[in-house]
Amino acid sequence: MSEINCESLFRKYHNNVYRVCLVMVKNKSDAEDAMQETFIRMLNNKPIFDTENHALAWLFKTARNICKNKLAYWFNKSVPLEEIDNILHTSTNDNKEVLKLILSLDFPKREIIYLYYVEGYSTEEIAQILDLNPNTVRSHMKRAKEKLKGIAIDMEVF
Amino acid sequence: MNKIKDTFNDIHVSEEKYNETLAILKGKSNTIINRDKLIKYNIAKQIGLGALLVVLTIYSIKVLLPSFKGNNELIHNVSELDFKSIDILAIETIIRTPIVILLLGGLLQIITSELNRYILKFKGYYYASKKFNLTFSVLFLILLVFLFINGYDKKALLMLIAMFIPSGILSPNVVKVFKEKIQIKNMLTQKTKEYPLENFRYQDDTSLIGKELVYTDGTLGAFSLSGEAKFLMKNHLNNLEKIKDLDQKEYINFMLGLFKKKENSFKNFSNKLSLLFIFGYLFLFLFLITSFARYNLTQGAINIVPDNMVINKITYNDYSKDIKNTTDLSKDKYNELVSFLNSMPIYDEMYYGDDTIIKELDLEFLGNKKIKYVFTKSYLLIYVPNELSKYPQHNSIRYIKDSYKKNGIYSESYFRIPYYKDVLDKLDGILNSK
Repeated sequence: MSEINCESLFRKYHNNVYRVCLVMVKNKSDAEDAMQETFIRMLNNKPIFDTENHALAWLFKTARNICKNKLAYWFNKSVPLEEIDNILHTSTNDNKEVLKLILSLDFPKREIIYLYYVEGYSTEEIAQILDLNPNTVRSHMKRAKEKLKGIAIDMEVF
Repeated sequence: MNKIKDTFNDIHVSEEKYNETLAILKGKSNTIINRDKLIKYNIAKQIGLGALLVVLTIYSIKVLLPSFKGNNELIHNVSELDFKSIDILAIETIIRTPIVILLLGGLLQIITSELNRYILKFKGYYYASKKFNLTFSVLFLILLVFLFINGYDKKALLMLIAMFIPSGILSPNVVKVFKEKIQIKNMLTQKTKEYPLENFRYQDDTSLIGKELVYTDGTLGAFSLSGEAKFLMKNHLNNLEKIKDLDQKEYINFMLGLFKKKENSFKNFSNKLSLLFIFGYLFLFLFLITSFARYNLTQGAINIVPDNMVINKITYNDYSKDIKNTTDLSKDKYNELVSFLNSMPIYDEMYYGDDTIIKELDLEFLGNKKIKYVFTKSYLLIYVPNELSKYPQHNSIRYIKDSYKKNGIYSESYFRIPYYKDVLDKLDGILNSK
Protein backbone atom coordinates (compact mmCIF):
# COMPACT_ATOMS: atom_id res chain seq x y z
CA MET A 1 0.00 0.00 0.00
CA SER A 2 2.35 2.70 -1.18
CA GLU A 3 -0.21 5.42 -1.86
CA ILE A 4 -2.15 6.36 1.23
CA ASN A 5 -5.63 7.70 1.04
CA CYS A 6 -6.14 9.77 4.14
CA GLU A 7 -9.78 10.30 3.43
CA SER A 8 -10.67 6.64 3.27
CA LEU A 9 -8.52 5.83 6.30
CA PHE A 10 -10.27 8.60 8.17
CA ARG A 11 -13.73 7.36 7.22
CA LYS A 12 -12.78 3.87 8.33
CA TYR A 13 -10.78 4.50 11.50
CA HIS A 14 -11.78 7.90 12.87
CA ASN A 15 -13.73 6.33 15.73
CA ASN A 16 -10.91 3.93 16.63
CA VAL A 17 -8.38 6.76 16.81
CA TYR A 18 -10.82 8.90 18.75
CA ARG A 19 -11.38 6.15 21.32
CA VAL A 20 -7.63 5.68 21.85
CA CYS A 21 -7.34 9.43 22.40
CA LEU A 22 -10.30 9.42 24.74
CA VAL A 23 -8.78 6.66 26.83
CA MET A 24 -5.63 8.75 27.15
CA VAL A 25 -6.93 12.27 27.72
CA LYS A 26 -10.31 11.35 29.30
CA ASN A 27 -11.96 14.35 27.74
CA LYS A 28 -14.26 14.55 24.73
CA SER A 29 -13.05 17.85 23.26
CA ASP A 30 -9.39 17.06 23.73
CA ALA A 31 -9.81 13.59 22.26
CA GLU A 32 -11.58 14.98 19.18
CA ASP A 33 -8.85 17.56 18.71
CA ALA A 34 -6.16 14.91 19.03
CA MET A 35 -7.96 12.65 16.55
CA GLN A 36 -8.18 15.49 14.06
CA GLU A 37 -4.52 16.41 14.54
CA THR A 38 -3.51 12.78 13.97
CA PHE A 39 -5.13 12.65 10.55
CA ILE A 40 -3.83 16.09 9.63
CA ARG A 41 -0.33 14.86 10.52
CA MET A 42 -0.86 11.88 8.27
CA LEU A 43 -1.96 14.20 5.46
CA ASN A 44 1.09 16.42 5.88
CA ASN A 45 3.76 13.75 6.50
CA LYS A 46 2.52 11.29 3.87
CA PRO A 47 4.01 8.18 5.56
CA ILE A 48 4.37 4.96 3.55
CA PHE A 49 2.62 1.85 4.85
CA ASP A 50 2.91 -1.84 3.93
CA THR A 51 -0.55 -2.83 5.06
CA GLU A 52 -3.70 -1.25 6.43
CA ASN A 53 -2.86 -2.67 9.87
CA HIS A 54 0.47 -0.92 9.66
CA ALA A 55 -1.39 2.35 8.94
CA LEU A 56 -3.70 1.79 11.88
CA ALA A 57 -0.75 1.12 14.20
CA TRP A 58 0.88 4.35 12.93
CA LEU A 59 -2.34 6.23 13.62
CA PHE A 60 -2.52 4.86 17.17
CA LYS A 61 1.12 5.66 17.85
CA THR A 62 0.82 9.19 16.49
CA ALA A 63 -2.42 9.79 18.37
CA ARG A 64 -0.71 8.64 21.53
CA ASN A 65 2.17 11.10 21.05
CA ILE A 66 -0.23 13.96 20.38
CA CYS A 67 -2.20 13.10 23.51
CA LYS A 68 0.99 12.96 25.54
CA ASN A 69 1.83 16.48 24.36
CA LYS A 70 -1.64 17.63 25.26
CA LEU A 71 -1.36 16.22 28.74
CA ALA A 72 1.85 18.16 29.24
CA TYR A 73 -0.08 21.48 29.35
CA TRP A 74 -0.91 22.76 32.80
CA PHE A 75 -4.55 23.26 31.92
CA ASN A 76 -4.89 19.61 30.92
CA LYS A 77 -3.43 18.14 34.07
CA SER A 78 -6.79 17.35 35.54
CA VAL A 79 -9.93 16.36 33.72
CA PRO A 80 -13.49 16.48 35.03
CA LEU A 81 -15.21 13.14 34.92
CA GLU A 82 -18.64 14.69 34.76
CA GLU A 83 -18.60 14.40 31.00
CA ILE A 84 -19.34 10.69 30.76
CA ASP A 85 -22.92 11.36 29.64
CA ASN A 86 -21.73 13.46 26.74
CA ILE A 87 -19.16 10.90 25.66
CA LEU A 88 -21.51 7.92 25.30
CA HIS A 89 -24.19 7.92 22.65
CA THR A 90 -26.82 5.64 24.12
CA SER A 91 -25.50 6.07 27.68
CA THR A 92 -26.96 3.08 29.46
CA ASN A 93 -26.06 2.93 33.11
CA ASP A 94 -23.92 -0.19 32.63
CA ASN A 95 -21.90 1.36 29.81
CA LYS A 96 -21.29 4.46 31.84
CA GLU A 97 -20.02 2.42 34.74
CA VAL A 98 -17.72 0.36 32.51
CA LEU A 99 -16.29 3.48 30.90
CA LYS A 100 -15.74 5.07 34.26
CA LEU A 101 -14.00 1.97 35.54
CA ILE A 102 -11.64 1.89 32.59
CA LEU A 103 -10.93 5.60 32.74
CA SER A 104 -10.22 5.30 36.43
CA LEU A 105 -7.27 3.00 35.69
CA ASP A 106 -3.75 4.38 35.72
CA PHE A 107 -1.83 5.24 32.61
CA PRO A 108 -0.91 3.09 30.53
CA LYS A 109 -3.10 0.34 31.97
CA ARG A 110 -6.29 1.79 30.51
CA GLU A 111 -4.66 2.02 27.09
CA ILE A 112 -3.50 -1.56 27.24
CA ILE A 113 -6.97 -2.76 28.26
CA TYR A 114 -8.52 -0.82 25.39
CA LEU A 115 -6.07 -2.04 22.76
CA TYR A 116 -6.34 -5.63 23.97
CA TYR A 117 -10.07 -5.99 24.48
CA VAL A 118 -11.50 -3.55 21.95
CA GLU A 119 -8.96 -3.39 19.14
CA GLY A 120 -7.95 -7.03 19.58
CA TYR A 121 -4.19 -6.53 19.55
CA SER A 122 -1.87 -9.11 21.07
CA THR A 123 0.42 -8.13 23.93
CA GLU A 124 3.40 -8.10 21.51
CA GLU A 125 1.62 -5.75 19.14
CA ILE A 126 0.58 -3.50 22.03
CA ALA A 127 4.18 -3.45 23.23
CA GLN A 128 5.25 -2.21 19.78
CA ILE A 129 2.62 0.52 19.65
CA LEU A 130 3.33 1.72 23.18
CA ASP A 131 7.10 1.33 22.97
CA LEU A 132 7.11 -1.01 25.94
CA ASN A 133 8.58 -4.40 26.73
CA PRO A 134 6.01 -7.21 26.10
CA ASN A 135 6.56 -8.45 29.66
CA THR A 136 5.78 -5.01 31.01
CA VAL A 137 2.58 -4.97 28.97
CA ARG A 138 1.62 -8.36 30.37
CA SER A 139 2.25 -7.32 33.96
CA HIS A 140 0.28 -4.07 33.46
CA MET A 141 -2.51 -6.12 31.96
CA LYS A 142 -2.52 -8.51 34.91
CA ARG A 143 -2.71 -5.69 37.43
CA ALA A 144 -5.39 -3.83 35.49
CA LYS A 145 -7.52 -6.98 35.33
CA GLU A 146 -7.16 -7.53 39.05
CA LYS A 147 -8.19 -3.95 39.79
CA LEU A 148 -11.16 -4.09 37.44
CA LYS A 149 -12.28 -7.44 38.80
CA GLY A 150 -12.06 -6.07 42.31
CA ILE A 151 -14.28 -3.13 41.51
CA ALA A 152 -16.60 -4.55 38.92
CA ILE A 153 -17.38 -7.98 40.25
CA ASP A 154 -21.13 -7.31 40.19
CA MET A 155 -21.15 -5.95 36.70
CA GLU A 156 -19.70 -9.00 34.99
CA VAL A 157 -17.28 -6.97 32.94
CA PHE A 158 -15.01 -10.02 32.59
CA MET B 1 -14.97 -8.50 27.76
CA ASN B 2 -18.01 -7.98 25.57
CA LYS B 3 -19.13 -5.27 27.94
CA ILE B 4 -15.92 -3.32 27.32
CA LYS B 5 -16.27 -3.70 23.58
CA ASP B 6 -19.95 -2.73 23.70
CA THR B 7 -19.14 0.33 25.73
CA PHE B 8 -16.46 1.57 23.39
CA ASN B 9 -18.57 0.82 20.34
CA ASP B 10 -21.01 3.28 21.83
CA ILE B 11 -18.44 6.07 21.59
CA HIS B 12 -18.38 8.10 18.40
CA VAL B 13 -16.77 11.27 17.13
CA SER B 14 -19.27 14.11 17.02
CA GLU B 15 -20.74 14.87 13.62
CA GLU B 16 -19.40 18.38 13.77
CA LYS B 17 -15.81 17.28 14.30
CA TYR B 18 -16.16 14.51 11.72
CA ASN B 19 -17.32 16.93 9.03
CA GLU B 20 -14.74 19.51 10.01
CA THR B 21 -11.87 16.99 9.76
CA LEU B 22 -13.17 15.49 6.53
CA ALA B 23 -13.32 18.94 4.96
CA ILE B 24 -9.69 19.54 5.98
CA LEU B 25 -8.55 16.19 4.58
CA LYS B 26 -10.36 16.88 1.33
CA GLY B 27 -8.57 20.21 1.17
CA LYS B 28 -11.83 22.14 1.34
CA SER B 29 -11.13 23.87 4.61
CA ASN B 30 -8.20 25.11 6.63
CA THR B 31 -10.14 25.97 9.74
CA ILE B 32 -9.10 23.92 12.73
CA ILE B 33 -11.06 24.63 15.87
CA ASN B 34 -8.66 23.52 18.50
CA ARG B 35 -9.47 23.49 22.19
CA ASP B 36 -5.86 24.23 23.18
CA LYS B 37 -5.86 27.26 20.92
CA LEU B 38 -9.20 28.35 22.33
CA ILE B 39 -7.85 28.12 25.84
CA LYS B 40 -4.69 30.00 24.90
CA TYR B 41 -6.80 32.63 23.18
CA ASN B 42 -8.93 32.95 26.28
CA ILE B 43 -5.90 33.25 28.51
CA ALA B 44 -4.47 35.95 26.23
CA LYS B 45 -7.83 37.72 26.32
CA GLN B 46 -7.92 37.60 30.10
CA ILE B 47 -4.36 38.89 30.36
CA GLY B 48 -5.23 41.74 27.97
CA LEU B 49 -8.33 42.63 29.92
CA GLY B 50 -6.44 42.33 33.18
CA ALA B 51 -3.72 44.69 31.92
CA LEU B 52 -6.38 47.16 30.82
CA LEU B 53 -7.96 46.94 34.23
CA VAL B 54 -4.66 47.58 35.99
CA VAL B 55 -3.93 50.60 33.75
CA LEU B 56 -7.40 51.97 34.41
CA THR B 57 -7.05 51.36 38.11
CA ILE B 58 -3.74 53.19 38.26
CA TYR B 59 -5.17 56.02 36.18
CA SER B 60 -8.29 56.39 38.25
CA ILE B 61 -6.49 56.25 41.57
CA LYS B 62 -3.82 58.69 40.44
CA VAL B 63 -6.39 61.11 39.12
CA LEU B 64 -9.06 60.72 41.73
CA LEU B 65 -7.17 60.29 44.96
CA PRO B 66 -5.47 63.71 45.05
CA SER B 67 -8.85 65.42 45.03
CA PHE B 68 -10.12 63.13 47.78
CA LYS B 69 -7.10 63.90 49.89
CA GLY B 70 -7.85 67.60 49.69
CA ASN B 71 -4.81 68.18 47.53
CA ASN B 72 -5.45 71.15 45.27
CA GLU B 73 -3.34 69.90 42.41
CA LEU B 74 -6.31 69.39 40.11
CA ILE B 75 -7.78 72.80 40.59
CA HIS B 76 -4.38 74.41 40.70
CA ASN B 77 -3.59 73.07 37.26
CA VAL B 78 -6.59 74.82 35.81
CA SER B 79 -4.88 78.19 36.28
CA GLU B 80 -2.35 77.19 33.66
CA LEU B 81 -5.03 76.78 31.05
CA ASP B 82 -7.00 79.34 29.14
CA PHE B 83 -10.57 80.26 29.94
CA LYS B 84 -12.11 78.14 27.21
CA SER B 85 -10.80 74.93 28.73
CA ILE B 86 -12.33 75.66 32.11
CA ASP B 87 -15.83 74.59 31.27
CA ILE B 88 -14.57 71.45 29.61
CA LEU B 89 -12.54 70.65 32.70
CA ALA B 90 -15.47 71.35 34.98
CA ILE B 91 -17.60 68.95 32.96
CA GLU B 92 -14.83 66.40 33.01
CA THR B 93 -14.61 66.67 36.79
CA ILE B 94 -18.32 65.96 37.08
CA ILE B 95 -18.37 62.96 34.80
CA ARG B 96 -14.96 61.47 35.41
CA THR B 97 -15.64 59.82 38.73
CA PRO B 98 -18.76 57.85 37.79
CA ILE B 99 -17.26 56.89 34.44
CA VAL B 100 -14.17 55.48 36.05
CA ILE B 101 -16.28 53.63 38.61
CA LEU B 102 -18.51 52.28 35.88
CA LEU B 103 -15.58 51.24 33.71
CA LEU B 104 -13.76 49.51 36.51
CA GLY B 105 -16.86 47.81 37.82
CA GLY B 106 -17.87 46.70 34.33
CA LEU B 107 -14.41 45.47 33.51
CA LEU B 108 -14.17 43.57 36.72
CA GLN B 109 -17.49 41.96 35.98
CA ILE B 110 -16.49 41.00 32.44
CA ILE B 111 -13.18 39.58 33.57
CA THR B 112 -14.51 37.51 36.41
CA SER B 113 -17.49 36.14 34.49
CA GLU B 114 -15.38 35.37 31.41
CA LEU B 115 -12.75 33.71 33.50
CA ASN B 116 -15.34 31.61 35.24
CA ARG B 117 -17.13 30.69 32.09
CA TYR B 118 -14.09 29.19 30.47
CA ILE B 119 -12.67 27.62 33.58
CA LEU B 120 -16.03 26.02 34.30
CA LYS B 121 -16.27 24.78 30.75
CA PHE B 122 -12.86 23.27 30.53
CA LYS B 123 -11.68 22.59 34.01
CA GLY B 124 -14.70 21.86 36.14
CA TYR B 125 -16.11 23.67 39.07
CA TYR B 126 -13.28 23.24 41.54
CA TYR B 127 -10.88 25.17 39.37
CA ALA B 128 -13.43 27.88 38.61
CA SER B 129 -13.90 28.51 42.27
CA LYS B 130 -10.16 28.60 42.90
CA LYS B 131 -9.37 30.93 40.00
CA PHE B 132 -12.33 33.12 40.83
CA ASN B 133 -11.03 33.59 44.35
CA LEU B 134 -7.55 34.16 43.07
CA THR B 135 -8.64 36.82 40.57
CA PHE B 136 -10.58 38.62 43.24
CA SER B 137 -7.79 38.48 45.75
CA VAL B 138 -5.19 39.73 43.29
CA LEU B 139 -7.35 42.61 42.08
CA PHE B 140 -8.26 43.57 45.58
CA LEU B 141 -4.62 43.45 46.61
CA ILE B 142 -3.58 45.68 43.71
CA LEU B 143 -6.23 48.22 44.65
CA LEU B 144 -5.28 48.14 48.29
CA VAL B 145 -1.59 48.62 47.51
CA PHE B 146 -2.34 51.68 45.40
CA LEU B 147 -4.71 52.92 48.02
CA PHE B 148 -2.07 52.80 50.72
CA ILE B 149 0.65 54.20 48.47
CA ASN B 150 -1.51 57.19 47.68
CA GLY B 151 -3.00 57.62 51.13
CA TYR B 152 -6.70 57.27 51.65
CA ASP B 153 -9.74 58.72 53.27
CA LYS B 154 -13.26 57.41 53.79
CA LYS B 155 -14.61 58.63 50.47
CA ALA B 156 -11.84 56.98 48.51
CA LEU B 157 -12.42 53.76 50.36
CA LEU B 158 -16.13 53.98 49.66
CA MET B 159 -15.41 54.45 45.98
CA LEU B 160 -13.20 51.39 45.89
CA ILE B 161 -15.83 49.32 47.61
CA ALA B 162 -18.34 50.58 45.06
CA MET B 163 -16.11 49.23 42.31
CA PHE B 164 -16.56 45.76 43.72
CA ILE B 165 -20.30 45.96 44.01
CA PRO B 166 -21.04 44.99 40.39
CA SER B 167 -19.12 41.81 41.01
CA GLY B 168 -21.51 41.00 43.80
CA ILE B 169 -24.18 40.63 41.16
CA LEU B 170 -22.03 37.89 39.73
CA SER B 171 -22.66 35.25 42.33
CA PRO B 172 -26.13 34.25 41.11
CA ASN B 173 -24.73 34.11 37.54
CA VAL B 174 -21.95 31.82 38.62
CA VAL B 175 -24.45 29.49 40.20
CA LYS B 176 -26.45 29.51 37.00
CA VAL B 177 -23.38 28.64 34.91
CA PHE B 178 -22.50 25.91 37.33
CA LYS B 179 -25.94 24.38 37.02
CA GLU B 180 -25.79 24.42 33.26
CA LYS B 181 -22.41 22.81 33.03
CA ILE B 182 -22.37 20.07 35.59
CA GLN B 183 -24.98 17.41 35.86
CA ILE B 184 -25.92 16.79 39.42
CA LYS B 185 -26.77 13.20 38.84
CA ASN B 186 -23.32 12.32 37.61
CA MET B 187 -21.73 14.25 40.36
CA LEU B 188 -23.76 12.36 42.90
CA THR B 189 -23.02 8.98 41.37
CA GLN B 190 -19.34 9.58 41.22
CA LYS B 191 -18.80 11.45 44.42
CA THR B 192 -20.75 9.01 46.53
CA LYS B 193 -18.82 6.12 45.12
CA GLU B 194 -15.32 7.49 45.06
CA TYR B 195 -15.55 10.07 47.77
CA PRO B 196 -17.87 9.09 50.60
CA LEU B 197 -19.59 12.22 51.82
CA GLU B 198 -18.72 11.52 55.44
CA ASN B 199 -15.13 12.20 54.51
CA PHE B 200 -15.77 15.76 53.41
CA ARG B 201 -14.95 18.57 55.75
CA TYR B 202 -15.41 22.31 55.78
CA GLN B 203 -12.41 24.51 55.36
CA ASP B 204 -12.35 28.26 55.80
CA ASP B 205 -11.60 29.95 52.58
CA THR B 206 -9.65 33.11 53.24
CA SER B 207 -10.76 34.83 50.05
CA LEU B 208 -14.06 36.56 49.50
CA ILE B 209 -16.14 33.53 48.71
CA GLY B 210 -16.55 31.97 52.09
CA LYS B 211 -16.40 28.39 53.18
CA GLU B 212 -15.15 25.58 51.07
CA LEU B 213 -15.76 21.88 51.11
CA VAL B 214 -12.65 19.73 50.94
CA TYR B 215 -12.10 16.03 50.90
CA THR B 216 -10.23 14.87 53.97
CA ASP B 217 -7.04 14.00 52.20
CA GLY B 218 -7.10 17.34 50.37
CA THR B 219 -7.41 15.77 46.93
CA LEU B 220 -10.81 17.15 46.10
CA GLY B 221 -12.06 20.60 46.86
CA ALA B 222 -15.51 21.47 45.79
CA PHE B 223 -18.60 23.54 45.40
CA SER B 224 -18.19 26.39 47.82
CA LEU B 225 -20.08 28.89 45.66
CA SER B 226 -23.17 27.00 44.74
CA GLY B 227 -23.54 25.39 48.10
CA GLU B 228 -24.61 22.24 46.30
CA ALA B 229 -22.03 19.99 47.84
CA LYS B 230 -22.55 21.63 51.21
CA PHE B 231 -26.20 20.82 50.81
CA LEU B 232 -25.42 17.27 49.78
CA MET B 233 -23.13 16.72 52.68
CA LYS B 234 -25.48 18.25 55.19
CA ASN B 235 -28.39 16.14 54.01
CA HIS B 236 -26.31 13.05 53.76
CA LEU B 237 -25.14 13.42 57.35
CA ASN B 238 -28.57 14.42 58.64
CA ASN B 239 -30.27 11.46 56.98
CA LEU B 240 -27.81 8.70 57.72
CA GLU B 241 -30.58 6.56 59.17
CA LYS B 242 -32.86 7.01 56.19
CA ILE B 243 -30.23 6.37 53.54
CA LYS B 244 -28.52 3.50 55.31
CA ASP B 245 -30.40 0.79 53.45
CA LEU B 246 -30.84 2.54 50.12
CA ASP B 247 -29.04 1.23 47.08
CA GLN B 248 -27.22 3.72 44.89
CA LYS B 249 -30.16 4.38 42.59
CA GLU B 250 -32.53 4.97 45.47
CA TYR B 251 -29.96 7.12 47.18
CA ILE B 252 -29.58 9.30 44.10
CA ASN B 253 -33.35 9.68 43.78
CA PHE B 254 -33.63 10.57 47.43
CA MET B 255 -30.94 13.24 47.18
CA LEU B 256 -32.28 14.55 43.89
CA GLY B 257 -35.68 14.93 45.50
CA LEU B 258 -34.15 17.09 48.22
CA PHE B 259 -32.21 18.96 45.62
CA LYS B 260 -35.27 19.75 43.57
CA LYS B 261 -37.01 21.18 46.62
CA LYS B 262 -34.02 23.31 47.44
CA GLU B 263 -33.57 24.35 43.83
CA ASN B 264 -37.11 25.73 43.64
CA SER B 265 -36.73 27.73 46.79
CA PHE B 266 -33.26 28.82 45.76
CA LYS B 267 -34.48 29.95 42.35
CA ASN B 268 -36.96 32.31 43.95
CA PHE B 269 -34.43 33.50 46.46
CA SER B 270 -31.70 33.95 43.87
CA ASN B 271 -34.00 35.98 41.61
CA LYS B 272 -34.91 38.24 44.49
CA LEU B 273 -31.30 38.49 45.51
CA SER B 274 -30.21 39.48 42.00
CA LEU B 275 -32.86 42.17 41.88
CA LEU B 276 -31.83 43.41 45.28
CA PHE B 277 -28.21 43.56 44.18
CA ILE B 278 -29.07 45.41 41.00
CA PHE B 279 -31.33 47.97 42.66
CA GLY B 280 -28.98 48.39 45.57
CA TYR B 281 -26.13 48.98 43.20
CA LEU B 282 -28.12 51.45 41.11
CA PHE B 283 -29.08 53.48 44.17
CA LEU B 284 -25.56 53.52 45.49
CA PHE B 285 -24.22 54.36 42.08
CA LEU B 286 -26.58 57.34 41.71
CA PHE B 287 -25.68 58.46 45.20
CA LEU B 288 -22.00 58.22 44.40
CA ILE B 289 -22.36 60.10 41.13
CA THR B 290 -24.06 63.03 42.82
CA SER B 291 -21.96 63.09 45.97
CA PHE B 292 -18.61 62.67 44.24
CA ALA B 293 -19.40 65.24 41.59
CA ARG B 294 -20.26 67.76 44.29
CA TYR B 295 -17.31 66.72 46.38
CA ASN B 296 -14.86 67.21 43.56
CA LEU B 297 -16.10 70.69 42.81
CA THR B 298 -16.87 72.17 46.16
CA GLN B 299 -14.96 70.40 48.85
CA GLY B 300 -11.29 70.42 49.57
CA ALA B 301 -8.91 73.31 49.49
CA ILE B 302 -9.06 75.94 46.80
CA ASN B 303 -6.33 78.37 45.89
CA ILE B 304 -8.25 81.43 46.94
CA VAL B 305 -5.09 83.53 46.81
CA PRO B 306 -4.00 83.33 43.18
CA ASP B 307 -0.39 82.35 42.56
CA ASN B 308 0.44 85.00 40.05
CA MET B 309 -1.04 88.03 41.80
CA VAL B 310 1.49 90.52 43.14
CA ILE B 311 0.88 91.37 46.78
CA ASN B 312 0.85 95.03 47.68
CA LYS B 313 -0.16 95.19 51.33
CA ILE B 314 -1.22 92.85 54.12
CA THR B 315 -3.34 94.29 56.93
CA TYR B 316 -4.02 92.25 60.03
CA ASN B 317 -6.50 93.46 62.66
CA ASP B 318 -6.82 91.62 65.93
CA TYR B 319 -9.82 93.20 67.66
CA SER B 320 -9.56 90.93 70.66
CA LYS B 321 -6.15 92.42 71.42
CA ASP B 322 -6.90 95.77 69.82
CA ILE B 323 -3.95 95.39 67.49
CA LYS B 324 -3.98 96.96 64.04
CA ASN B 325 -1.03 95.82 62.12
CA THR B 326 0.06 96.47 58.57
CA THR B 327 2.47 93.73 57.95
CA ASP B 328 5.45 93.76 55.69
CA LEU B 329 6.26 90.11 55.24
CA SER B 330 9.37 88.50 53.85
CA LYS B 331 8.94 86.38 50.72
CA ASP B 332 9.18 83.16 52.71
CA LYS B 333 6.64 84.34 55.28
CA TYR B 334 4.32 85.49 52.53
CA ASN B 335 4.56 82.10 50.82
CA GLU B 336 3.89 80.39 54.15
CA LEU B 337 0.83 82.56 54.71
CA VAL B 338 -0.55 81.95 51.22
CA SER B 339 -0.05 78.21 51.39
CA PHE B 340 -1.72 78.18 54.83
CA LEU B 341 -4.71 80.19 53.59
CA ASN B 342 -4.98 78.09 50.47
CA SER B 343 -4.95 74.90 52.48
CA MET B 344 -8.11 75.76 54.41
CA PRO B 345 -11.02 73.64 53.27
CA ILE B 346 -14.02 75.25 51.60
CA TYR B 347 -17.52 73.87 51.97
CA ASP B 348 -20.66 74.74 50.10
CA GLU B 349 -22.80 74.86 53.22
CA MET B 350 -23.54 78.26 54.80
CA TYR B 351 -22.46 78.45 58.40
CA TYR B 352 -24.08 80.62 61.09
CA GLY B 353 -23.38 81.43 64.72
CA ASP B 354 -21.87 84.24 66.78
CA ASP B 355 -20.86 86.88 64.26
CA THR B 356 -18.70 89.00 66.57
CA ILE B 357 -15.60 89.79 64.56
CA ILE B 358 -12.35 88.96 66.32
CA LYS B 359 -9.79 89.18 63.54
CA GLU B 360 -9.54 90.46 60.01
CA LEU B 361 -6.91 89.83 57.43
CA ASP B 362 -6.78 91.88 54.21
CA LEU B 363 -4.61 90.90 51.33
CA GLU B 364 -4.32 93.77 48.89
CA PHE B 365 -2.97 93.11 45.43
CA LEU B 366 -1.77 95.48 42.76
CA GLY B 367 -4.76 97.16 41.12
CA ASN B 368 -6.58 97.52 44.46
CA LYS B 369 -7.97 94.03 44.35
CA LYS B 370 -8.55 92.75 47.85
CA ILE B 371 -9.21 89.38 49.44
CA LYS B 372 -10.59 89.61 52.94
CA TYR B 373 -10.60 86.97 55.68
CA VAL B 374 -12.98 87.81 58.51
CA PHE B 375 -12.83 85.60 61.58
CA THR B 376 -15.98 85.79 63.71
CA LYS B 377 -16.41 83.87 66.92
CA SER B 378 -18.18 81.05 65.10
CA TYR B 379 -17.11 81.10 61.51
CA LEU B 380 -14.80 82.48 58.92
CA LEU B 381 -15.97 84.80 56.17
CA ILE B 382 -13.90 84.95 53.05
CA TYR B 383 -14.54 87.82 50.71
CA VAL B 384 -13.43 87.32 47.14
CA PRO B 385 -14.33 90.21 44.81
CA ASN B 386 -16.12 89.26 41.64
CA GLU B 387 -13.22 90.24 39.40
CA LEU B 388 -10.96 87.90 41.33
CA SER B 389 -13.39 85.05 41.33
CA LYS B 390 -13.20 85.11 37.55
CA TYR B 391 -9.71 83.72 37.89
CA PRO B 392 -9.55 80.26 36.32
CA GLN B 393 -8.50 78.66 39.59
CA HIS B 394 -11.60 80.11 41.20
CA ASN B 395 -13.80 77.94 39.10
CA SER B 396 -15.00 76.21 42.24
CA ILE B 397 -15.70 79.50 44.00
CA ARG B 398 -17.97 80.48 41.15
CA TYR B 399 -19.69 77.16 41.48
CA ILE B 400 -20.31 77.74 45.19
CA LYS B 401 -21.56 81.25 44.50
CA ASP B 402 -23.93 79.98 41.84
CA SER B 403 -25.14 77.34 44.23
CA TYR B 404 -25.72 79.98 46.95
CA LYS B 405 -27.61 82.16 44.50
CA LYS B 406 -29.75 79.25 43.44
CA ASN B 407 -30.68 78.55 47.05
CA GLY B 408 -31.37 82.22 47.77
CA ILE B 409 -28.75 82.45 50.50
CA TYR B 410 -26.11 84.26 48.56
CA SER B 411 -25.10 87.66 49.87
CA GLU B 412 -22.21 89.68 48.54
CA SER B 413 -19.15 87.60 47.90
CA TYR B 414 -18.63 86.16 51.34
CA PHE B 415 -18.27 82.53 52.21
CA ARG B 416 -19.14 81.48 55.69
CA ILE B 417 -17.17 78.46 56.70
CA PRO B 418 -16.50 76.82 60.05
CA TYR B 419 -12.95 76.91 61.37
CA TYR B 420 -11.06 75.68 64.35
CA LYS B 421 -9.19 77.61 66.99
CA ASP B 422 -5.83 76.33 65.84
CA VAL B 423 -6.41 78.17 62.54
CA LEU B 424 -6.26 81.46 64.44
CA ASP B 425 -3.25 80.37 66.45
CA LYS B 426 -1.42 79.37 63.30
CA LEU B 427 -2.30 82.65 61.62
CA ASP B 428 -1.04 84.56 64.65
CA GLY B 429 2.10 82.48 64.57
CA ILE B 430 2.83 83.32 60.94
CA LEU B 431 1.97 87.00 61.09
CA ASN B 432 3.52 87.84 64.44
CA SER B 433 6.78 85.97 64.10
CA LYS B 434 9.67 87.78 62.54
